[in-house]
Amino acid sequence: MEALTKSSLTREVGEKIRDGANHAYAGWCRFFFEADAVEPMRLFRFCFGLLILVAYIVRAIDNEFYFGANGVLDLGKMTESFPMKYRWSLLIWSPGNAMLWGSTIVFLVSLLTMALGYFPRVSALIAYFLHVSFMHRNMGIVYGLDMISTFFLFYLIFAKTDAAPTRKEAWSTMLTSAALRLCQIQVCVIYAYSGWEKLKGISWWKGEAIWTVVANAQIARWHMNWMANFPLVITLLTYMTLLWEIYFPALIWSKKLRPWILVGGVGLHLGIGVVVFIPYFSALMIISYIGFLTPDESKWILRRIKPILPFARV
Amino acid sequence: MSIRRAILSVALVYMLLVVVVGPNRDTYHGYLFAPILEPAFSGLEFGQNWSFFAPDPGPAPIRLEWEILDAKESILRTGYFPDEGYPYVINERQTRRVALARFFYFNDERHLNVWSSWVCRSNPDANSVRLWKAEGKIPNLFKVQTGEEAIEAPVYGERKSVGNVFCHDTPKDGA
Repeated sequence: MEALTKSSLTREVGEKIRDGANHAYAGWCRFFFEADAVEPMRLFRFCFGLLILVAYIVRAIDNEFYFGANGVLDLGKMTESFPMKYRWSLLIWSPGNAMLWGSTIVFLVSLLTMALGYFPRVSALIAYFLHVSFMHRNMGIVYGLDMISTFFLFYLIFAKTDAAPTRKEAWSTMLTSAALRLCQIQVCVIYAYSGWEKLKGISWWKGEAIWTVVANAQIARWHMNWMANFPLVITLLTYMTLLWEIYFPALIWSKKLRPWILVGGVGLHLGIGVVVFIPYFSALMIISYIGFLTPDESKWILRRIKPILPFARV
Repeated sequence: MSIRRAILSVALVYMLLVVVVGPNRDTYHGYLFAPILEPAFSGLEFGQNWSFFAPDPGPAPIRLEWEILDAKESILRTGYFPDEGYPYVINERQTRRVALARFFYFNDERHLNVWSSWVCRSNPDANSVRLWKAEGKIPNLFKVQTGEEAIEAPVYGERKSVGNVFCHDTPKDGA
């Protein structure tokens, strides 16, 4: 009798664990493979592609200084004094100007075709490959815009945004959904780490961090001496930034709070973009919020873009 | 269970591991997963740490300075990087220049080996270069309030020597 009870108890526990695992896996699949992702990813692809196209056209003005064989980084010396394990680049294999300008043109064209929706996945693949190639040739000029673009370009390789989804179980449908989820998670991870890292900083605890940004004449757009007369505003802005970054990854998933969190983020990044000399980075963070729009909201925006750019496949 | 979903799930778990561990890779779990994640961190550039304006915003304004010396150690000319102010209409150019200056500023070995090479190549008449790094300061909030200090174009008051580098394997005559 006792043995029977033990065996039935074990079976019951086993079934509960199996049910729980099945339930969790079903939830995982629903989250990653069944999101209505085409419209948000199409809008994101368009805006992101155009933004970084402009940013990298501007970078190309200094192409030879940054990446050229006679540029700022002597190839031999750079590979000696920077960890290059696993790092590869077309510009290391073939350092001449022909490769540099050829890569640049292909890179910029691929960003344009990706943005406009012509062979978007192939374009994203080419753009990603060349983007990393440029980064590895000169890691010294890499900043937030480049780092985040690496991930988004990679995710766009898998997002089929030029046609409506076919079957639920098709590779392309599931990959597009997974790409959207990865974009969303990426934004959450960026804010989470950025917020947690700030908790180590004294100036964030003291409520003075915003001051050290606006008072840094090398990165601030204007000399904002007047701000010193509003120390409470500086403290408030510092703590709001800190709290907003730390809680974004959790609160953004609440349907009720989502619009407010996004509006707060747009405000924060517009502020940074106006005050500090990183306008493209700020614009990129705002564009990354497209991943959190509903399909209907994305469709609404796409319908307004279409008449302005009839040749774009949006 | 769909085979496709299972395959994609395995790939997703790997990607999520990269995304979550990447920013915190100098840890026990970072080292634990390093053999499988390091190629993605370095080869695909997924190993970024998202410490924007953290732990503290900064650094204060910085710049690289140098003196071009002839064979008799006399100063031919001086220079600095990045340029003062914002001479570029499209300021994205200045953002990257500041990033590049920081890349060398915080690593003296790189500064001596790589930056010196650029300074030498840009000054073919140089026998050697003397490298410096200079730092400005961020005005104190309360001193700005009282008018003792002001936010203005950076003054690079603190200057540290990085070292001297010969520009040629064989020093020019007279050295």
